[in-house]
Amino acid sequence: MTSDIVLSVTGIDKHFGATHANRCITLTIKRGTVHGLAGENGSGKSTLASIISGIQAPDCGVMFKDGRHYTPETPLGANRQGVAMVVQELGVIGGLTAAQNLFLGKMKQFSRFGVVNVRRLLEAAHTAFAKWELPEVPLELPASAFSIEQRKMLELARALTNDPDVLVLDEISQVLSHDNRRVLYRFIDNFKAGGKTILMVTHDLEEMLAICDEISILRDGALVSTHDAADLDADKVKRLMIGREVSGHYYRMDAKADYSPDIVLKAEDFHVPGQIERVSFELHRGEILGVCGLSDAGIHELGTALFGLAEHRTGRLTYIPANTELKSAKDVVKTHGAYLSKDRDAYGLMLDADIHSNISLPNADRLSGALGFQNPRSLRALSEQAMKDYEIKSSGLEQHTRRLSGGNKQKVNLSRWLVKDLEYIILDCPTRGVDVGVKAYIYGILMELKRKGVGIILISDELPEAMGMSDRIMVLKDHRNAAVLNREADFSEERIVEVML
Amino acid sequence: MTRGVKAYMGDLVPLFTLLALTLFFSAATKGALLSAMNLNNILNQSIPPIIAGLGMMFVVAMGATDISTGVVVALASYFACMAVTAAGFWAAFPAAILAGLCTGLLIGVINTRFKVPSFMITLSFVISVRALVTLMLGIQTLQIAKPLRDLFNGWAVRLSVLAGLVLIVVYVFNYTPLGMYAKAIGENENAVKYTGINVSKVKIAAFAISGVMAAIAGVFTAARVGGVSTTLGTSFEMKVMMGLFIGGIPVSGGMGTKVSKLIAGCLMITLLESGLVLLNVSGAITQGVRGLVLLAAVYFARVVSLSIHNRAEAR
Repeated sequence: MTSDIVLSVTGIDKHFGATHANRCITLTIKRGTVHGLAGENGSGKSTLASIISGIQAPDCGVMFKDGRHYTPETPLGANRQGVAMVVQELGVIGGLTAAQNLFLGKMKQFSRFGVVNVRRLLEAAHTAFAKWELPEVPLELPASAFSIEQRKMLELARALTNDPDVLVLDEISQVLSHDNRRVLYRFIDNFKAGGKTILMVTHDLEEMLAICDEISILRDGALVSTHDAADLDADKVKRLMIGREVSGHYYRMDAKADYSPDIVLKAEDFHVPGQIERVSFELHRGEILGVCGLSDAGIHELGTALFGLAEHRTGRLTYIPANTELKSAKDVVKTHGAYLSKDRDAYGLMLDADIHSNISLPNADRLSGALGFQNPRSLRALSEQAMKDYEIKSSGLEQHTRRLSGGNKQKVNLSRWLVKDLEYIILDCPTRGVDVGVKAYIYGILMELKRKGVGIILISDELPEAMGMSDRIMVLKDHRNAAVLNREADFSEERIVEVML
Repeated sequence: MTRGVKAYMGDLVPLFTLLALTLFFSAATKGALLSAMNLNNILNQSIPPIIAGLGMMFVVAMGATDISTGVVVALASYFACMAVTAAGFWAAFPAAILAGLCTGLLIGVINTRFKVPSFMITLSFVISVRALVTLMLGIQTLQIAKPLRDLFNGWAVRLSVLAGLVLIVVYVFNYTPLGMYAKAIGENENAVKYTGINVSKVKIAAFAISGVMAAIAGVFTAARVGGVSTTLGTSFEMKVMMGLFIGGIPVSGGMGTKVSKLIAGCLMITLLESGLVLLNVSGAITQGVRGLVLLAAVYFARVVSLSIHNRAEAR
């Protein structure tokens, strides 16, 4: 029973303008399995997933589900034929309550004479979460009040209200923190146990290897091969994805903490009501200080607060070399500090502006002379240098940022700070949503900065990343600094999770 | 490089449209459009909206709205007239500018400190500042001093003030951080905030510039009509906005905001009005055409910008 085929696609081809996103892909997915799609950014994974979910129509090719012709013309059509998807971009409507979002488009069943029976709606919403043991979100609150993680859970629950037998998950765990990933994995096990099938797109290879039964690898829009997950390891997947040998390590190799005794940043009794509880720490020159914690421990809020953008902050943050207190984001930038938000598209880039404007923005003030004069030529030279130094692949400085791949967007985001000499940088999940190649590239940059003596705060949702790169890891628990662990002595997943919980 | 040229072509569209309109109406009116007297008229009517538009552009670039321009015109002209009577001829400009600056600063501070949307603040100003002017004026109409009127009747003064202001704004808007930040806020306010830029300061500055320019436009208007009445500048802000948006400046602001588009847009509406008047089209029809042209222009600007995007994407 487990070996029969639930979904097969044959000869799927898709063009976007001159881009050949899917090249004649033929693939079969077995019932009751978790099937992974691996590939670099732009390899066509998301396109294939969205074709299967009816979001886009292929140029040619046919699909079969349960042996019958499967032609989803819309996502709704796909739902009716038992396929549902949770997309990479967030798709909940902020002004509606969680319960309304959950049954969007299916309100009819709860309404009589045009009036919605709210009690029945809430009951059904409650059941939808309980059925799959998902952490319930506040059903009566508008979705705009939710964190990214809560929204993702809401989207997952919404997809499940269609009672699909094939569920497509596109990069769902990227935004989830350690504990919610566990919830997700438990859900996947339950779902699979019910004889249902999951098609999963993820950048996290470790995760993919751990939970998938079969993995198909795409490169440049074409299927390279499909394997049993048991026959693969991370290096092999990377090799297949990139098509050539890659070095097996991308984290740093030394097992010892190694940084200067000079302090760059010192936080004392750092406090933001409801977000951070009296956190103190020191950051040294050439140190990578990892920051880890469960989803609501306050690690991302710490980043925002350090950059001076939290309201009602108390306590002191001092830039030690000049002995200046940092009170605002401006002070941070003035002392050669920088900050990268976790949500690159919302808080980092101007997506509809060109690369040049994006790189110029944080450097405009620094490069302006008398009467605020900005020499267009020096700004241009700066952008060109950033493009070259950080190998940003684009059609030129005028290209709009929205159309860059995730990895190249992140390179733009990073390079605009790195083109100047930094003393310290606060990075919130810098490798979120980028492929293996760019990930390795960013780790390379971190090591280069470390060598130059830049102090780095690396806030991360991925324990392997934090352990792989940091000299010390500060673990936050319930908004407090629960422990600071050292690279030599305490770096193991068990030890960190123990402190987190 | 080719992409640069294409983006540049997008900026030229309003200028081409302006040229096409000129050719059409000169042909239709058998050259009457371009007679010396009519050109004088067109320019005369275009100068105040261009000047006010130079300021409003900073606000529009941020994706915000300032509809207080018309009442600032009345308020500033009132103070200009009073200052001329009290302290002499040259006090007109400082007095007007001060009035515009204070109004703009106040709008900016309310907007950033109390997070009231700019449209609502300026709407309330449209009502309350007009009331203030009415209170101060009573039922009288203030006459503007004759020397000031004479000064503004000379082309040399009008054109050199206009040219000076255009140059200053082109400089601030394109070659200083302030201009870049205003446009960047229109693209993504959070991205600006998260690069350590004080967004509130930029916003307050933008509203202040808008107020000052509206005040200068006010002095021009008052000089042309010869005085201040309680209705001076009524719905002037609509004319300025039409100039901005007919010129192809995106309603959401951002990097597509350009001085050249403003100037082309303002000339386009006066040209359109003047052409229709010369063709003996009734006032009501003229107004209807203006409204429809605005809609068409905003739609067209969107189509052009999208097609440039798409071509860039298709590589």
